[in-house]
Amino acid sequence: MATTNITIPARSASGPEGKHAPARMKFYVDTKRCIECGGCEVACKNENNVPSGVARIRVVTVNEGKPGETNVAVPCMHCSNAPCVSVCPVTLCFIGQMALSTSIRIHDRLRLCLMRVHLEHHIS
Amino acid sequence: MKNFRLSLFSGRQVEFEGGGNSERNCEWLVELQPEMYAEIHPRLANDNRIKHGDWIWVESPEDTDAQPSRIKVKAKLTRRVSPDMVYLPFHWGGVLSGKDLSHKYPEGYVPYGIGESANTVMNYGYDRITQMQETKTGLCRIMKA
Repeated sequence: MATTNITIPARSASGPEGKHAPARMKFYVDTKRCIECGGCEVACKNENNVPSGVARIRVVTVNEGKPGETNVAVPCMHCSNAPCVSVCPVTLCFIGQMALSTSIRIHDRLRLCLMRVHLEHHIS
Repeated sequence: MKNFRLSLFSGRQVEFEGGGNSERNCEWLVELQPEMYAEIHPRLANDNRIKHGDWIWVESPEDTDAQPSRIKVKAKLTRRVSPDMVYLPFHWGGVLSGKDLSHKYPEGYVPYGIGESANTVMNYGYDRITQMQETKTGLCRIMKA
């Protein structure tokens, strides 16, 4: 498992450990490498006994079949030793320390993706 | 082959492998890829009045009982394929020409996912040096079911 080497600015970092302690490890998802194999979803369901119909990590495909197709893995970020990270064949997920502001921005974008999937599911 | 103007291609789904026997027995993998489909271009679908998710017949010139062999699959509209092309994943089995054959499985051994086999409509022909059969490309036509 690789880790990223992004240093945390002292002011923005405020985790559960204390006001100036580093933030909790976040997922870093490299969207250019994902091939949408679903290995992370299946590993998570196998390891955590998640029932079918529920997914704690889901791969969202944006612009499917068009130039610029992107697969974004949307993790739940709850495991400290996550099975979805270790099973990935292209090692696109890293667990590392990131600047809190960056992770929030990524998280907002992912939430938008999820909302889009939710809407598409209900429309079709 | 005037009536069969479309190219037919078979290929893999990234979740499955080979004939899909073991994968279609895994509940979580079938959840990711629940059914057999044919990928067609939106322009081709529009010419044949097919919508996304409609049932279509894919027919090939291969003769069985003086009838073109054919499969009934769902249409998936995508611009991954060109307008003169039909793509089929080959991991499926358990249905033949629209007829469900799941009652022929031993009791309790029916896979979670069954669908038409793409090899039903693959054309005849083989490589004259290696004697390998042609199961990757061919000709076909489509119509709405």
